[in-house]
Amino acid sequence: MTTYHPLTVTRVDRLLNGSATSVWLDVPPHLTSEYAWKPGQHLPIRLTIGGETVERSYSISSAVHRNDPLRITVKRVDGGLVSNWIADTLTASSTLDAASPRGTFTVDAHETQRRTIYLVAAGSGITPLYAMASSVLRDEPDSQVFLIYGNHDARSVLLSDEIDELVAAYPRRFAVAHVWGSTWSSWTSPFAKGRIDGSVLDRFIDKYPPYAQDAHYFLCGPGTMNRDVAGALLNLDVPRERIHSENYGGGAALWDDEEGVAAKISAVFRDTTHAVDADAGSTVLAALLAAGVDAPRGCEAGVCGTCTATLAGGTVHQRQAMALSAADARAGKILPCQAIATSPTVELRYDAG
Amino acid sequence: MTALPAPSHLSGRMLHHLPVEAYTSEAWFAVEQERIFSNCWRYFGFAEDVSEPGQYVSRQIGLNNIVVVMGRDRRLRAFHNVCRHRGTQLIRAVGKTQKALTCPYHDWTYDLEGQLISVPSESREFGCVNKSELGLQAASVDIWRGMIMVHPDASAPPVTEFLGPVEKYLGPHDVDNLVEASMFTIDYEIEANWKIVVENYIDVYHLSHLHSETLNIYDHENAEYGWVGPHYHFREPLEENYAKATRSAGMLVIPEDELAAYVPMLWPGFGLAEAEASWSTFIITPLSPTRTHVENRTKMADASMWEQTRAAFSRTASLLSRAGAKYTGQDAAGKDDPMASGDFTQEDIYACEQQQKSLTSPYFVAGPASEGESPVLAHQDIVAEWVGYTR
Repeated sequence: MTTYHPLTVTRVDRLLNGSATSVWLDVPPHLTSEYAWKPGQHLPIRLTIGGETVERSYSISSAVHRNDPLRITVKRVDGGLVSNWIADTLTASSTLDAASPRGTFTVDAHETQRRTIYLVAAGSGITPLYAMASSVLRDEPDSQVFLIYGNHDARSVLLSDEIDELVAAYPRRFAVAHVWGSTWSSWTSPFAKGRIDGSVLDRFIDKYPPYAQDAHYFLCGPGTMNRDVAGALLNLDVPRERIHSENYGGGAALWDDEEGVAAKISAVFRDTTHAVDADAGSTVLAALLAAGVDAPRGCEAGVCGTCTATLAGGTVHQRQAMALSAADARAGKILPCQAIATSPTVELRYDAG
Repeated sequence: MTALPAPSHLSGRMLHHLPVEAYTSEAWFAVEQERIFSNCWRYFGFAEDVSEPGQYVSRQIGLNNIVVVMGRDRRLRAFHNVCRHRGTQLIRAVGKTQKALTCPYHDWTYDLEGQLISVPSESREFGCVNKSELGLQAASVDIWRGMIMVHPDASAPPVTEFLGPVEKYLGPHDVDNLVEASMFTIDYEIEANWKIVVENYIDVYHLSHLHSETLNIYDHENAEYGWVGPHYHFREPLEENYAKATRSAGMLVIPEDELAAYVPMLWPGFGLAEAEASWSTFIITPLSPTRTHVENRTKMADASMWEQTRAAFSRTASLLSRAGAKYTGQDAAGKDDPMASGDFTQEDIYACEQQQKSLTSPYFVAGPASEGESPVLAHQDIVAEWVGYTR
């Protein structure tokens, strides 16, 4: 049972021409421990709008280095009941019912830690990451923070001034790279245009390599951003346990463990075509070996590249593809020892003769 | 048959706070290797040594051979270079994209997180191998002051917990933005115990004497030194004329108003020489009780060799007393006499080796230690504490 208390709204800031709102809340002394929060957590609130009681949860965006009181920043969503009410109706000195902060997407800054914290944000996903950045910069003097932040254009950067202020306060330990989706140009140019994809991340990490080697990656954005960025980070050798994320506005799970489908495999090897059946989840190589085909193979772990083949039809999912370069992958090269069918028919031709 | 008794002229004899055996015996050497040199954060190399994805370096650090490899996330990983199959020290990064570590003996292959991912002919040779329990053993790695540091324990506390407290006594050098001058890299062996080499480095008394003609550009009278935990720090101003010439010569690696030489000896055997126009390491590696390896690498301001040479000349040209030999003419034992070399490193090596030789003399007796040698006694006490020796 969630317990709500009415907290006094001390201030309301309309941001970006009213497309987002920061709400400052006063926690009375006797509730301080109940509303203690960790950067990255969100605050459940309850409202009654037009007779309907609704519950929402918004990330806490307070600047730890300024010792801000509790603050949430809410982006206006088209047709959204609560976000529009907050944007249009909520005023200072009213009250807002809030429950104690929650969430496990936290950065847990501590003085003795020495880390490199990468933050990847898109749109309003900045709010918990801003609190995290501010907290690490204040509380971990040996750590650095690098933020890559995707927005539509320079005019839609939420908390823009506060981010600039944080850079000015910690110029040697905090850097920001903006990525703008729009081709609209302004007098400043972003770090990159388009989406935060693998090549943008590669360039970002190359420009801001980890000095402290205990690196962690915090992702917060809408839709499929988290999954796309997590996939790109995995391709850059980042281990899963160092990637932390929170989804905004729903979206797919971070890790996609493909199960595959049963398929008819047609493999050309030394001018002979072998047709075999593969069970769902079986690798192409395993299916060929089970049928008695002496297919090329080496490490059977995606490392050596001995089994490299070219996909001629259908689709596969590869668990590992260390032996393949990005150019190989674009050219349709696959590693049968790692490939499981994701279409009912798969055709391939072995490179080895 | 019983063991031979220890030579009587060695037993019970002291060099200040440590027994003479600490400088001569295999037993002390073995204990130091374990409790000092394999038991804390250690210098591994410069950050530049492993700075490209897929690049790797392995190095013996105390009892451990450690491999450091960089992933495409530009993050370093450190592992014990011991294949989990037969323990072979063959781990290297391989593959077209260098995303794996492999032992070429039987091709066991690990990913960059150390997970065992491939055992060739696994089902035929083993039936089944529990790969999840046979990952490479991780070590800790970090970058500090432009240097790669490693610790054999994967869950070691941060490097800054070990070295952070002494940082405020180190030079104001921006090491990350200096450039290695590889022509000044030297490594050499000294026929002496590693502690003799450290003690020489931190002996303030000898600077005005052994190096009377070679390090007279510094004002030893006004040296400040002390300890933070096991780390020794030392700072001395430049001699007045030399300071003036140095300011006008340029190519400084230090802000003009903080002109000084910082010469710390961090623990263990991790010396730095952070000076006015260069920044160098002095890495001490014990090879045996009586043999020690020293490696010096130098960084300078990012400028051409011609500019550096011109600045070096203009720093020293105006001085009345330029570097010279301690002994000249008939006092020199010959043209190869280190005392006539005019090179302070040659003078130090000579002093260390002659000190080591005397330790096995039946007539060796240590005299009193001077005020300027107080760091020597402090270092002996730290060694004693780390190995668990009590007088």
